[in-house]
Amino acid sequence: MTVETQTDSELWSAARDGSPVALGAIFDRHHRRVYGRALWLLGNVHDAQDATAAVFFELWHKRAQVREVDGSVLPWLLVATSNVCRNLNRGTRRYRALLQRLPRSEHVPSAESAAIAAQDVLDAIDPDVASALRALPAQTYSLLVLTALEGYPVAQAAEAVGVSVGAAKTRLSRARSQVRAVVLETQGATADEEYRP
Amino acid sequence: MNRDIDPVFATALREAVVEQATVRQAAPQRPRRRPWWIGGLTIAALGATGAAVALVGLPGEEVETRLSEPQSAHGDGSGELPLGAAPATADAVHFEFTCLSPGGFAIGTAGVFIRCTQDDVGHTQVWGLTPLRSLESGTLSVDASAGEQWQLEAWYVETDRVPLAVNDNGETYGVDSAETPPDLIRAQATNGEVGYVRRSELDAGAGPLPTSPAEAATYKPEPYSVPVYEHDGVTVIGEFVVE
Repeated sequence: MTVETQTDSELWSAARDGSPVALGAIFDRHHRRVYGRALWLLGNVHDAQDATAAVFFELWHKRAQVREVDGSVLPWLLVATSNVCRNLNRGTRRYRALLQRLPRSEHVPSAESAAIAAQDVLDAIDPDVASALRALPAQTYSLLVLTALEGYPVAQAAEAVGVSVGAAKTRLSRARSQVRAVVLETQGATADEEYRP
Repeated sequence: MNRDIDPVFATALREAVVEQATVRQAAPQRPRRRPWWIGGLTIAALGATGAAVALVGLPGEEVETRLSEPQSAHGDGSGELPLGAAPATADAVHFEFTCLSPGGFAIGTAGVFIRCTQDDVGHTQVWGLTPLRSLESGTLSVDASAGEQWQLEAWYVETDRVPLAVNDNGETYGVDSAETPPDLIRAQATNGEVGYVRRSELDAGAGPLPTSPAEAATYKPEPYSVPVYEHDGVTVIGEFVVE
């Protein structure tokens, strides 16, 4: 099996049926994106590592229900990431024992990260914005992560989250009026811009 | 903040993720509660290569080998547990069911029905095997009314029967089954010792059975006992009482 040339669809199909090689390839392809998003949402390395691990354990645990969007499992992984990060304790609870066994390098905090320290990056931006974001329902939160932060078109984000495009648009516009635009401007994108980073 | 994932962590995580897909054939960690309506089962322990080795279990015993990762689901009222496609050598589904509220629950389509009272809730774990035809498109269904809550875990297995053993007198001995009935049936004596009772002595001890409706109306079987032997069928180690 030539892993590099296969689409996510072929790889995922093999992984779901129990191929360790294919599952490893899925991990190789997407773990950096998952980690990057988790780090942005949580603001510290240890939690982001825990969240990344939980997302890939969930990928296996829930493999019968994983949805591909345009032949990719990345949207599903990012929805799972936003769910886990929205409530980290709940998202990682079933994997506590596994997480504790994973080795981690000595983390030397930089001056920047020391300033952020144990704070959630959302709090660092604006506490009001942070609490407004956290108050969003889970699906809306995921839609926001996928469109505003990950740059997916609304149609694909809707498919990944499992709602209709119409419902996704309604929820996003409602979220926009609930949350001040400052967070989206900080990120350098708005939900209307369709691009792939 | 360094936005690259720690390579030590990433390598270890990759290993842990991939390991999930590497199905191990070892015996499960949790102690199993013997189900009240299914015969005794033992989980086989295969060699590290997974190649076929002698089945580990009592003679005549049905042994099961786990072929897939356990899947679980819970629900209120009817629901489903998807198991995916059955591995090529699978011939049954092992399920473990816990009722979270009183009620009646039908599992699959092969006639498994479990009734729970308030005393059973949360404690009683019923487990057993159901044939592959009990699934619909790789999914094990739970049929229940709204308000009846449950938890279900299941996985594919391959079942094998350990062959009966033979003693020096040419008598077969082992766990009893309709598939391979032994001459000497594994049983526990009243003193707690485990040995074998002779089938012919069990049958003889029952005495004459009624041959007419009139006789059947007044038939009152008396309890009787038979000896329990070592597997040699000669050394007596206790007695077994038939009620």
